Amino acid sequence: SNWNLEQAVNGFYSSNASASNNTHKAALSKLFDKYRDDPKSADTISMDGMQKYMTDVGVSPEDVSFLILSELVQSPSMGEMERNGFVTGWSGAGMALLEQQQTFLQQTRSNLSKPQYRGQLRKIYKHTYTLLRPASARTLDLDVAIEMWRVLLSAPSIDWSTPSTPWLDYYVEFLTTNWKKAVNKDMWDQTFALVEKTLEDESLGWWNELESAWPAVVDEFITWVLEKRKGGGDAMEVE
Amino acid sequence: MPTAMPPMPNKDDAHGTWLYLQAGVEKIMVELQEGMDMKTYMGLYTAIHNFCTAQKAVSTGGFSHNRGGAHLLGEELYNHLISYLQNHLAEVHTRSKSHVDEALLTFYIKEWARYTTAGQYNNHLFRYLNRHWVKREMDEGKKNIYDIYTLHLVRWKEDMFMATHNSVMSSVLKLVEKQRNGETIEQSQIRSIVQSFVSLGLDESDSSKTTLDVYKEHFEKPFLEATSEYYKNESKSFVAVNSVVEYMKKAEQRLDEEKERVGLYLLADIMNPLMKACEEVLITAHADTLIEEFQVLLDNDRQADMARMYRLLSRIPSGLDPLRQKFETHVRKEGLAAIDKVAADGDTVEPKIYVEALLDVHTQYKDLVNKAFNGESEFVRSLDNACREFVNRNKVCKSVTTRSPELLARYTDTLLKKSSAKMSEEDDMEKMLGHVMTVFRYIEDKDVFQKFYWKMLAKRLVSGTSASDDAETSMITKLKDACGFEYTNKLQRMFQDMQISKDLNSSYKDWLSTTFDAEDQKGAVEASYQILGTGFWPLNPPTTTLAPPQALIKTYERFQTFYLQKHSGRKLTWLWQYCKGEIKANFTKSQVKTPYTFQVSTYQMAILLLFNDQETLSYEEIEAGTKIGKETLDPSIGVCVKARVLKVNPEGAKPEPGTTYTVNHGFKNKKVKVNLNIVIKPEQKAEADETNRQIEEDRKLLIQSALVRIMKSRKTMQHTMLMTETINQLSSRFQPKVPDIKKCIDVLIEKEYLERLADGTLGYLA
Repeated sequence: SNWNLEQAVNGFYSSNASASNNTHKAALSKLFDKYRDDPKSADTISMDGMQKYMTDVGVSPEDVSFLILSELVQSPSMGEMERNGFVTGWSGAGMALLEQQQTFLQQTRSNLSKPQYRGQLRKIYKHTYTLLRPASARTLDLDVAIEMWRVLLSAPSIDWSTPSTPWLDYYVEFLTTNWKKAVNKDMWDQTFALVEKTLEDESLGWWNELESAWPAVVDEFITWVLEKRKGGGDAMEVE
Repeated sequence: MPTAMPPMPNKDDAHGTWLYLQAGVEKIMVELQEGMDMKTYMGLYTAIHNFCTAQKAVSTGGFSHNRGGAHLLGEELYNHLISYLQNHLAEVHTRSKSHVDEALLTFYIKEWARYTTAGQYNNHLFRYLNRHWVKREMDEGKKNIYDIYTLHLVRWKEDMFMATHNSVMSSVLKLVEKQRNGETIEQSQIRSIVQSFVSLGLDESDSSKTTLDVYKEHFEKPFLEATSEYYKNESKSFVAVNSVVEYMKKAEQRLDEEKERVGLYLLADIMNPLMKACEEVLITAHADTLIEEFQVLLDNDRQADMARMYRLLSRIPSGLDPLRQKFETHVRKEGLAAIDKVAADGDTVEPKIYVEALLDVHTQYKDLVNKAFNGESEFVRSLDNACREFVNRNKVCKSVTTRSPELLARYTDTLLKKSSAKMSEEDDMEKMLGHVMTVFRYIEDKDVFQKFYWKMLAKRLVSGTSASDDAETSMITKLKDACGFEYTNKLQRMFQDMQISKDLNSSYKDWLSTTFDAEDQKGAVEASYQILGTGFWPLNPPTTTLAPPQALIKTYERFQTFYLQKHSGRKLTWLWQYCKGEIKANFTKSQVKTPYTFQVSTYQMAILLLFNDQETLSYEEIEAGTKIGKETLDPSIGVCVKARVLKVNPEGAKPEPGTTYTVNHGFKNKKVKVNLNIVIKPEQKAEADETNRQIEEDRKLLIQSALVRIMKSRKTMQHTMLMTETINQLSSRFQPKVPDIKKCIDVLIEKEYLERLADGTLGYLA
């Protein structure tokens, strides 16, 4: 199950690494050219080319594999790839051929929920914010953020729910009915920290409004959850 | 009849000498009262001297230590004396057995007195022995050799005291118990016993000193034990049948008695242990009962009893802690109850009633602290804690937490405002302001008070309704003393502006008289001006436009010219909404000689002056002539209509296009001066809401700047530490809430002043 990592490491350290790496890079650059769609910018693939490439590696834009890909090639924004990112990303993974790439993405997708892949998931999660935020804005629209959380925080990715609490559903409910504000980078990052904490201990033993350093949204969400747990379903309509 | 002395012995005859001496010692011991003549005394003295010195010559020096005969003979004499004393005391002891209780004490004291007196005589008699043999022995460090007087004491202690002290002491204790039970006793007996016990405390290392060891062991210890036992029993049975209040009186009385007892016949040294023993059984053992009663005393305001309880419990370690706690809880409850009572009508509580309710509770318990608790600082602290609690968190503050400072500011406003109610000699005012400060010190949200006070002071100053400059200054000084210069900065500036304006007006008058001739001045409107610095006053530019009447334009343009000559580069904004004036109504039929005077707002003035040119005006014409916005225009006309200065056509028509207004020549009023400037007051609640909203905004900025200030100097900081530090820095103004601080942190993170580092640490981004 680990072969991509081994491959990458091998690819980097083995004696003829640089040689094979260079071969990879050349092949990847060639592959990149195949999807290039804008004659004016030589080092960019945008919407059309991207769509074609995604079909070829079996990635759907609604699926988490799209985000895996975007992080791997360090897409600067939705549906865009740059030559440098593409070549560096894939050669780092040691995958020059389309079929290899498809397998790699499938594999990563099915591994994403495993604890040992948490670091990789975190990177993908963080990159998603950059990917989605419009260049001019400081924040992300709440709707967009929620859509992404649904992709990133449920199967096949990590599933943000515990026996007692459907965390993701609760979070979405809380944000849409109570919070109703755009999502800044801090909130985006802290949400992932919250996911990890709640999965570790759903009893919330780690939380204390007066002492912990969570942003206000997390404090208010947890207070909301505690109320909900206490009062059951409909009590929360008030507030 | 004195015993006859045997003949003077030969100085070499040791046995004879001792017999001779023994007879003398016996005489001193048992019949000193019979007297001893000088001859006998000298005879004895000489015999001792001779005995000790004579044999020096025949001494052979055959002893290994080679110390001469005096040594040997001294020792012999010394041992003889010991045997004699032993025998004597054995006999005294035997006789003592036939006595008990007071008789025993009498016997013991008598024998002791006789014995110690004899001891002193003997000490003199044996002076030669003391000076030579005893001294040498002691110098050489021999143990158990004493000067002759001390020897007497040692023997008494061994041969008499050890055998009798138990029965003597139990007699003493019986006597004391009698006295505690109210009987009269021979106190001097006990004093003598104490002295005799003390005398027996010999310092082994230095016979010239005494210690209290014997006394402590054989007198003090049993005495304290008996005392404890006595009061243990007494208090137990007393409490069983008497009230706690009675018991406290009893206990206090007993403690006083025991204290007095020390002076009467005990050693001063016993004071502390005796008091401690008494306190232990009289107070500590009953502390719980006392403390339980405290609530009852509080509820019934039994000051004297509480004072007594305070005095008693203050004598034992941490005895007062529970009282302080109960006191604090009680005051808090009373405070809350007082507010519940005045807040029965919900939010509409009168500031005066509210503040007085707070003050009454404070005054009552402050008085209690002073009278019953000795004004002790710990009780003051409990009082302060309780007051702070109910001043800031009570029924009235429930929905709007900043009600307390708001109501206090409103109350202060009523004090400082001119009013028909005859208040105040000067010191009355001072006293009232002092009361305001008492409550103010407990207010946590000092920023809220400041905001409301600021707005209300501005109103008082602008509308000239302040009762006294001195009172205003005094209040500002008090606030400055309590919160510092910054707190009152704006208030002081406002005050200065008023002063400067006064001067300005008089120099303007001078300027007018020199600049314009009499004719020109006659037509002008008489006016006075207030120049208020932007930024120091809570005043906003008018919300409506206005085309000022011609008469005013000329007037204020003159002033403007004057002012800008003095201060070129400044800009004057006319705050018409705060201006007012008086106009004479020459149109009425009823008052021709002394026409009515209307007190009006600038807006009303603009409206009414239009009627100088035309009897009837339509709504549209008034609107066009004054340029006043509808929200201000309508109510301004409304008042004139209501006061029947203007007639509406059609009757009862609303102020809207199509309606016309005509001057009412039939206007009548009881007063010559008619006030039309009835401000359509903005709802007080709405105004308060607005102020509170501003305060919220101010606080966010204050929290953010505190956060930035702290983080700038610390660079990185643990989240909890940052919270604490922020609260510390701000708490003199208000109590920031943790969630609010967190929200401000969120804002600063979003603005990239701060960043989140690992483990709940925050970092400063320069």
